[in-house]
Amino acid sequence: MARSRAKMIVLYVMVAAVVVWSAFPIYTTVLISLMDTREAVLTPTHWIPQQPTLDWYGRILALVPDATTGKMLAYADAFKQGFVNSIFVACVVTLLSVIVGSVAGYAFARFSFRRKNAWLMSILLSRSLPAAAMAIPFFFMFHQAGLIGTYQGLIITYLSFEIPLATWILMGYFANLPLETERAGRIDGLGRLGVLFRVVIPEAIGGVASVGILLFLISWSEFFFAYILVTGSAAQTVPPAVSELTTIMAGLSPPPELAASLVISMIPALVLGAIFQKYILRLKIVDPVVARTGEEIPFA
Amino acid sequence: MYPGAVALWMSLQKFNPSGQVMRFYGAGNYIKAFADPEVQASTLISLEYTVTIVVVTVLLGLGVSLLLNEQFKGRSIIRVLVILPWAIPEYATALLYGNVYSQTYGTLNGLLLQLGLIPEYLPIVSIGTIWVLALAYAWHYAPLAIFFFLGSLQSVPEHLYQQARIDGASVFRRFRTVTLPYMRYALLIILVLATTDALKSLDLVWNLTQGGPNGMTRVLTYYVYRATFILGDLGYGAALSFILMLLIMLVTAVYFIVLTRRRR
Repeated sequence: MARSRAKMIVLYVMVAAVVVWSAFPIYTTVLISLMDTREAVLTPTHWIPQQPTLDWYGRILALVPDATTGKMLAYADAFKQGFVNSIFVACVVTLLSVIVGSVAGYAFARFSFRRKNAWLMSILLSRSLPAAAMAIPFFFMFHQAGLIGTYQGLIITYLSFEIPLATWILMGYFANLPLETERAGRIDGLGRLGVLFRVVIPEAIGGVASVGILLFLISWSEFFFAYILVTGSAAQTVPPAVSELTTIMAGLSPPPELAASLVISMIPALVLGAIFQKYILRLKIVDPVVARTGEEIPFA
Repeated sequence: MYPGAVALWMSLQKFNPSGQVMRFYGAGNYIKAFADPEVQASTLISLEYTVTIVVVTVLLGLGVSLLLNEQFKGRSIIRVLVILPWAIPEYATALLYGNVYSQTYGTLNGLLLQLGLIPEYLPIVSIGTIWVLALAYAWHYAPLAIFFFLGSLQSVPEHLYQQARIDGASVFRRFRTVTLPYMRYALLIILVLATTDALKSLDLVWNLTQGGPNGMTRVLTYYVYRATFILGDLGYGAALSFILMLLIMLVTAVYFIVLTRRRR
């Protein structure tokens, strides 16, 4: 289909506007992170740093000391520890959720049992609870149990909403698999769990992997529970560590410091997000769709 | 379910500020909530926030998905780029927009000043209050709608467009009679998701304004947090959180009814 030159120009201008809208906040932050503290607050804004520097990245990662005081940044320890904690918590939660979610999802997909619909309904309901509401009972229970500021508390909290999510999505996956190979597995003498782990999961490995990435991203991105449960403790994850730069140390923390730590904290999510965009977003939408209507929808 | 039961029990108790149960309080916390002017104010702010997000998300989703459905060079890479903000966490979106909106070094101020639209740097958040925050949330959320709408646009059979063009239908008429019927379902799903997620949203307000200035951005979720963890009344916070959950379930139920009826 041929189009006039004028139409193509309008099209490209509109595409450019959309790209600017999407990229502007990210560009802003990367820009500030590459400036020194003085240049970052200049009026009007420099759109390209005059002397781009990775100094703040080096300081946050404790690779280079502060040029004037000669000391390492105190914040660097908290940030590095947060990174390790975030990866640890996200991995444990993802692994456990995928394992438990596979077993439970398989059970929901293949067996009928008493109150099945009530169980499904309760999974669905747990998806509509806001973090602001759930933080209250969790905080109270962990306070009583002495689990505030520990990995266990945060992991239990994340499991409480990621296991239902994994169960829900994997149920849909398993229900659509053909039964023949499972029967063959049974005839070969495998038990129910054997069939699940030796036959069903390898068959649906693509789906199981994308569920895993989705769950990892949810843990990695979670701020509010982390803030309530582990801020300032040895188990603190990245989100409260970065957020702390704007609140407790308000006015003391220079803009490039926040910008640089924000950029580092976003890299894993952006990389995973860009590579697996299609698969994860499909899950994100199919999950509530299947939940509410039980129907499949067409996709690109 | 267990945390829910604990929350219900907590909402019926009177707590002291150090987090210990004092006595059974019955419906006292709920009665207090319905008489609390702050609750009414917060509910209104939450509704403004939610409606803005839903409107912007749907309009942006429609516009951008129709645009990216056109043929042009580099389309697939631009699609990935434009949809990418969904991967940025909500708290990080707030901090990104802190750099954009800041009165001292914000790039939006810098841009407007250099374009000659404003004489000096303005306190954007104080002027725009909840709308400015809703816009930031929509930036993070619209990609989900764009992705979903693009998917449903691709299910429209090409011959229907050709037929409509032969019949001499205008662009708007083609959209209304050919495209929209195929998108109706996608639209409703996005309406449900955007509404419930906007009502649940807290990280953005928390990290950008802490409910300020003067409580003008104090959405219901933030008020629940404030009543519980700053003012220190666990029982009252639990009661408020139940009211919030009922509101969200009500919205979900209404959409659910509409959604299932339309399909038949």
